[in-house]
Amino acid sequence: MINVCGIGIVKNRDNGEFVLVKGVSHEKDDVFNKGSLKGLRRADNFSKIAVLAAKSALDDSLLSGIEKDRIGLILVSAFGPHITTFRFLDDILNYGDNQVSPILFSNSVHNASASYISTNLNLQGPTLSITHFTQGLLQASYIAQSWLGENRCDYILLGHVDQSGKELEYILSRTPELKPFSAGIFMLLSKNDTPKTYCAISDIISAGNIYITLQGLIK
Amino acid sequence: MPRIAITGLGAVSACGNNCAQILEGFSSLRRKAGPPSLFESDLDFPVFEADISISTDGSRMRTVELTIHALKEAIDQACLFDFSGIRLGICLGTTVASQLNDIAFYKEYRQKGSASFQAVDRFLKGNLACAIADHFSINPKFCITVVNACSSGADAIGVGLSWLNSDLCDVVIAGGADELSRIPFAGFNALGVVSDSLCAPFDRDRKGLNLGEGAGVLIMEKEATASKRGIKPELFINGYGLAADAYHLTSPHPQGKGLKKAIGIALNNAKIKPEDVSFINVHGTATRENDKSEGLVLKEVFGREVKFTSTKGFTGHTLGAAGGLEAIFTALSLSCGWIPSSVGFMNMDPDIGISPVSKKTQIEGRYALSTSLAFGGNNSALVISKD
Amino acid sequence: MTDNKEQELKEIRKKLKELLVSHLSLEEIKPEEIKDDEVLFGEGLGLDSLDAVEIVVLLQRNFGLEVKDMNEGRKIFYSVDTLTRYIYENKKK
Repeated sequence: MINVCGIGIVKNRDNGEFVLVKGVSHEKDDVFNKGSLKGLRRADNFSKIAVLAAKSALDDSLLSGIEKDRIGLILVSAFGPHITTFRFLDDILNYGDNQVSPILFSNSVHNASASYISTNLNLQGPTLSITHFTQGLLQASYIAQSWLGENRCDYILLGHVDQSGKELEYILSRTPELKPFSAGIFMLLSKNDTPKTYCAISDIISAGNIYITLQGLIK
Repeated sequence: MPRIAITGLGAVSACGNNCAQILEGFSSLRRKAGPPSLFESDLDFPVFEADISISTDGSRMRTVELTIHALKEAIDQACLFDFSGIRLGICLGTTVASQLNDIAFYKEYRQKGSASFQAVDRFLKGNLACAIADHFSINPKFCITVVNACSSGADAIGVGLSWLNSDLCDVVIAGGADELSRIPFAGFNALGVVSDSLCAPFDRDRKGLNLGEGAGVLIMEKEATASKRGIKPELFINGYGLAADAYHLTSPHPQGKGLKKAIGIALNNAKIKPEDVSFINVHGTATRENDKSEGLVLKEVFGREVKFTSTKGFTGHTLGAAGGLEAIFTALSLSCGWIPSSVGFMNMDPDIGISPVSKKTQIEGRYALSTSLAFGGNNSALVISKD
Repeated sequence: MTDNKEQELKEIRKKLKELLVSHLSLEEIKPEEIKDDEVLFGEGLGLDSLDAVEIVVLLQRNFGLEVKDMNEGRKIFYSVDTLTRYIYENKKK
């Protein structure tokens, strides 16, 4: 049995604000203040969403004193930090291969956000970034189940982050069933009993299009 | 815990188009590098391109083609011709193939607000694990692509190991692949870690990495499953460790904290001690920072006499393929009884204090280690053994 | 120091501070608040190795300058002042 003991859902609004979605507990959404973004100076919005959502899930669990190498991290994304990738392509086209921004390149690497999460939250356990267009969270759940069963860690931060953007909208104009939103959803999973438990996961089965399920959660 | 066997190996890189060719390349010190021909660039630093003619109508990414090529070799060796009735898993690592970074597409889109969708179609059909499942007409329940940067291939093997240990699968196809791409070529150059000459892993005067491309894929299964298929395996994966530095986006921890942890977990998994490890196939990218961090950990954990080699001098840094190729080269070395020269190395770096082997070296012993350090501070270690 | 040189150094310094703030996402400080003798790495502005390579690109794009050797770069990048002087002495006319 795996317990869900913390949830963090963060939206990145069109006006740039990062918002903690509290629909699960029927409270009003909270806008993150500038202080919450400390340590994320160079991070792009994709990584900011990831860090804020992961931290929110940890905070939500009310757990403290967990050994940092006993928390695993599995981050799923369908399209990764594509906005930053396109900005990096802009650099190549505008300035040539010899004058591109190393910060943009670094942020465009798919596992950059996992790196920001582990550095900001000092997580030293097993860390995995994976990608799948529709089944990422499902596949991640199986891996989480295996890791906890193998005692690789005691807790796992399991999350899905994606972004919408104008290039991606064009790219997906023929596939309306793939419709990412700029948000991150994290759960803290545990095989132990915890002070706060939303529910236990007794089985993992495919539930169809993940975006429909997740959109319902963040609206 | 039942033993997990490696029943098939398949590889392609600049050094050769299959395992036998690569081993021959290691023996003859073949370093096939030159300025990029797969794309145009203002930069002309040496890269390691695979010499493989891929017949494709442009509907598939080169990374997928490289993977199919390597996987065919692995499947042949494993005699895995029929997937029916097998609980199969596919876990493959990559970096380039996971991003829509086609410059021609974006250039056209930028100019006109619209563009040909051929690159988009390649991308949407190009999630590596899914593309392989599709090509071989399989529909595995466990199918995922790992994007852990330079340790992706190793971590994909690690995920496969977890699936098998949890009895979720009977057979797993795992490894990594990446094609040579202008994007990381420009990006790593901007980070100041690309060498303008052939790379020299662990060398005192090393100037950085050379990029390469390739695919390294293996077939893993429980020993009992292999036995039922009439196969008596000689190679096994005994342990896997994964740990994060939690230090910096682009630099490894100076004392290799995460790598030391990952090695400890892998050795623990395998129930062996450092002295049981006969050699290490290191990540050894030839950047100043990677080799120093990795070297300091090896010296601390295994002592000054540790035998190790980096194969990046033969293949370049193949990014998502690296961990897969490193694991395969480790397995091949155990099987053949020798490790290749860490080609490019000439003089010990006094800041590291240990040297890789500088010529083809016989090895004895049952166990070996393969290490991978990734951009973003991920560290992986695999223990592989031979009966 | 001639008026012309002083004026040029002043312009370079101003542009440099603006570039540092915008390209390194220094959100808690305005360009005019950065001191001329501000140390860039470690204690001062707190920049690190990734910022250093970004500055190398800024120098290429905005002043046509290349820094080939990062060991040489350590001295050049010490402070806003040392970087300003380097730009003044080496920029393409």
